[in-house]
Amino acid sequence: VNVASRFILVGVGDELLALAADQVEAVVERAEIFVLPQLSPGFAGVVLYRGKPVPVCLAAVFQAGGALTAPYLLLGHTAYGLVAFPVDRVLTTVGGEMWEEIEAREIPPIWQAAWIRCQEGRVPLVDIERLLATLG
Amino acid sequence: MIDADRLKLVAGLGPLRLLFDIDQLQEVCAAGELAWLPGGGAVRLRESEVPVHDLAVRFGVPVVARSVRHVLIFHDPDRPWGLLVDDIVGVFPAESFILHEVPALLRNPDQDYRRLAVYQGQVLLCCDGIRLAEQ
Repeated sequence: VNVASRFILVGVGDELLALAADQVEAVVERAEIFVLPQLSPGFAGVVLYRGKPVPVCLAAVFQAGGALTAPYLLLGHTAYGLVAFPVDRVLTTVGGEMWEEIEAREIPPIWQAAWIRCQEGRVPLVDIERLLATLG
Repeated sequence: MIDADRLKLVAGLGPLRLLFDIDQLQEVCAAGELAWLPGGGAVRLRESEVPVHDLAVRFGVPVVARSVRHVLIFHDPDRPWGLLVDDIVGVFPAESFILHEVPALLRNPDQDYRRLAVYQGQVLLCCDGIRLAEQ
């Protein structure tokens, strides 16, 4: 069993995802996405955050709800700086002792670090760095 | 006296806003007023044949009905060349723009731009005429 302080639960389409709260810089509402050409797959463009361009990631797990029209952008810390992920809903933050290692018999997506157990059920925990590595 | 080095031209291309150094430009023409050569890839300008590249094709901007397009004619010691864009938004002092490197995650070797500019809450692509001419 791992320990982390808090997680943020977000909704993408019908799915719920969890992110470690210390990986999240902010969640911004109705931010304009500036589409850019000639980008690698998995990226749409940038959003301005505090006057600086931040990449917008369209990894498959974040596309369920219509990524470019999603009402929120979650800004996550990565080794490359901030990256924005479109999300449809921001549910809540949950406490840390509710998560567990992935059960051995399951084959999770590469980006999934663990499961979170909480009031909403069992929610996959996203590892942003792993997610970005899948786009490479 | 106005210093052209201190001015930038902003052009539109579909949803994109493009930023050019004025000092790289020879002139700007309405596409419909130019004498296009058969095939559409060049115009005749003062007895010279000037190749024109369509940035919409290069940037993968979807084709839509565009009422008025413009051709940016670039200086070139050998032969001027042109870029087809949509509207001309305006000419502004260079200090109006805050320049940023393209974020590391978004860079790739084939990109025709290396920097982004922020102007009045909008993001623009800094286009380098010399780099575009090499393609």
